[in-house]
Amino acid sequence: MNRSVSTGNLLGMAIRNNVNMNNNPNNMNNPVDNGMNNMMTTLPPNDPNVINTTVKIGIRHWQNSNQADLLNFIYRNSGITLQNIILEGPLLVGFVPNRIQADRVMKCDGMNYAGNRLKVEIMNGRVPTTSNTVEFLRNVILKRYDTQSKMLNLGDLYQDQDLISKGMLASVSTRSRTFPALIKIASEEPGMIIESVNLADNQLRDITPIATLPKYFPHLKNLCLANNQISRTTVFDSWRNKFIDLKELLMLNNSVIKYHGYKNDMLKIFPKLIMLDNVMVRDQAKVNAIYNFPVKLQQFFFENNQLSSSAGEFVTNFLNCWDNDRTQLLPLYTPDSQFSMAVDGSIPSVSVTNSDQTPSFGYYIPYSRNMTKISNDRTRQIRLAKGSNEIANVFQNFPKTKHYLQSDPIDYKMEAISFPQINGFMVTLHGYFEEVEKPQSSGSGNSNTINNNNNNNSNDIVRTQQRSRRYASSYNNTSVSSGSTRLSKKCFDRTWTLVPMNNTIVIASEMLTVRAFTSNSWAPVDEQQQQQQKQKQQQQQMNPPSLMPPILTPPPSQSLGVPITPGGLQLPPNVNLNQQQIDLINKLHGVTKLNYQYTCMLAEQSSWNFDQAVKNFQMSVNNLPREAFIQ
Amino acid sequence: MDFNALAQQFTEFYYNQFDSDRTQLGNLYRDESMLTFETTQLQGAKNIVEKLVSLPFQKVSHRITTLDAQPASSNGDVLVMITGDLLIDEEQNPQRFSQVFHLIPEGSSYYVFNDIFRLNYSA
Repeated sequence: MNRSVSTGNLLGMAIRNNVNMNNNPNNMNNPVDNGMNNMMTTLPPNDPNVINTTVKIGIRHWQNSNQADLLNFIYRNSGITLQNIILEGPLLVGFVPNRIQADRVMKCDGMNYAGNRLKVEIMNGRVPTTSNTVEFLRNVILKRYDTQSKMLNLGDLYQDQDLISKGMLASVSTRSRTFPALIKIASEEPGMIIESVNLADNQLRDITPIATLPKYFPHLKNLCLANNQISRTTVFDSWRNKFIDLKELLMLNNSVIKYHGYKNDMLKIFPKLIMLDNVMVRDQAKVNAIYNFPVKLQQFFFENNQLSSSAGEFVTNFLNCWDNDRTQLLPLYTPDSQFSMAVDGSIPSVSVTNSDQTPSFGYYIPYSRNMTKISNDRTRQIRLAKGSNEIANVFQNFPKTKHYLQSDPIDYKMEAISFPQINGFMVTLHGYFEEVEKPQSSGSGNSNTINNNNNNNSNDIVRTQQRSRRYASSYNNTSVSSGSTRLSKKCFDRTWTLVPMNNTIVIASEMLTVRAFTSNSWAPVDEQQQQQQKQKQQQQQMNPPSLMPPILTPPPSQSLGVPITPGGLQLPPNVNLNQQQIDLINKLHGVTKLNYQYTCMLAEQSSWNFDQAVKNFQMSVNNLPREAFIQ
Repeated sequence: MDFNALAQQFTEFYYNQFDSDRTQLGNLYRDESMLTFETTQLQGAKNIVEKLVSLPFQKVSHRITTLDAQPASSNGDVLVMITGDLLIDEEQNPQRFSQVFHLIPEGSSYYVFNDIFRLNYSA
């Protein structure tokens, strides 16, 4: 993220320079002075009246030479460059933008060329095939892309000689297709990294022609819409929160910038906008802080080492049983154990990539104990399940699920805290699961719960309306209808209060929150990518199962022999060890719970001999600093 | 008091106080209280409030989306689990958080024994 911040401004500069916008704010009111005129003069003069008459020209009897020499010859003799050359057997076809130019090319008809008399003729226009059009537009894009500034310059498109000659701007309907086509084709161009798009000088009254821009370039950093005819901020409504990384926007010389609510509206539409019309409108540091919470988010927190292994083991086993056969979990609940679940029906912000915008909670709503929605005392009482019978009943009414703690640990976050009063501990896991099958029982044994829910229906609605967040429509519809029970991924937070008892662990209390799916639930995307890379490298270096302990069957607490570091020991990505050494380090780490650095030191000092290393560890364990261990 | 009502009252009070003046949260904690804020653990009312006050934002508001509670012991302990959004400095883009409180009765009132705060990156 930091990287993009610095380049963002540079790219912004690139836009300004390319459009020849004047950087000096004092000159802003004089839009068409030096800069704009300079650019105009580099383009051939153009009469709007003849734009619409692209002419197709065919040339024969040039085969003793080659295409490039022929085009040179035509240019020397007429001053015209033929565009969009197509070879059709002995016929070379080219286009010129208007009849005047066509007449000049016609002067070459009958000229001696490479031992032959050229035959030049004006042909009837023939619509090029689609693939030719794509190739043609691709070339337009390549010409207008600057590798260094990563900018696609679609400025002043109506003056583009290539497009004009091809008739792409000939009518309103072809014009309206040209922008979306260019945008789409640019997005499909491999290796073309586009951080900035210039759309200045395009007579745009609204964004209709370019509406698809965020769809294909959601991570665009700089956008220039200067010198258009945009007069209202409402034209941007469909772009709201779509450009999730846009840092700079140039709108100069659009009448909308005089509107007093302009700046506020733009801030709402572009959530990370920093520079608007060369003025800083947000504090970059603040934006960073908001999108990277000012606290380093860490995936796992364990109050102590013992908790790290017990909690990791418990959660792994629990989820395994939860996904495969929930009845296996029932021995973990005593007659006093409690379970409750709350549905968070809010819909994630659209700016969150990969979020479920239409979450369905039909299977959960009848059991939700979310007290911000459920005010009826009796409902609250019923929905707090007590003892393994009641708990089992609730469990079997939730869809069958699959958690990915082992294969995708990056999307999980966990903490474990001691609970001294009961000599136990509390574990909270955040992450996601996928619903893979409808519930085993379809609610037949729960008419009581479901009926009771209706009492709160009106209450739910009133409260929902008071909130600014949007809620899933199914949230107000408390009956389990087929529409609201679509199986999907969901995010969750789940807290267990665990008490050791008779050599095993019992669950004294369990609380579950279910909410709409969002990806990257705990780390900024950049960090996640790094982590994922790291994990991939680890997986290549080790056998995947070593990342997490083998699945054990409950009761889980009895085999504490296999220590766990959820997510595995974090090896630096550039680690330069052979497989044997990595295996040894993992094995050592399992025994010692030392962190990577100390495990390596220990291994090295013990000449990579496991037994020796364990001995050395036992001898020095009391002198090791606290930070030597996985925290 | 009914643990549900307690949880609701506590939640309302806690977040109102946090959002209006978080320097005043100290009397909800005791010397044995523990705050686990992401990866930092702090014990004692003074340390906890120092930590909360030091968080680098001026204006903050919590928006609660779920609230659930369970009695945690026969002594009247209550567990409260909350999820919601955290809006920092009036920005439109919330952070999602989850928080678990372990409340312990003390006379006619309650204090926070454990406070476990976690953020989820995107909301």
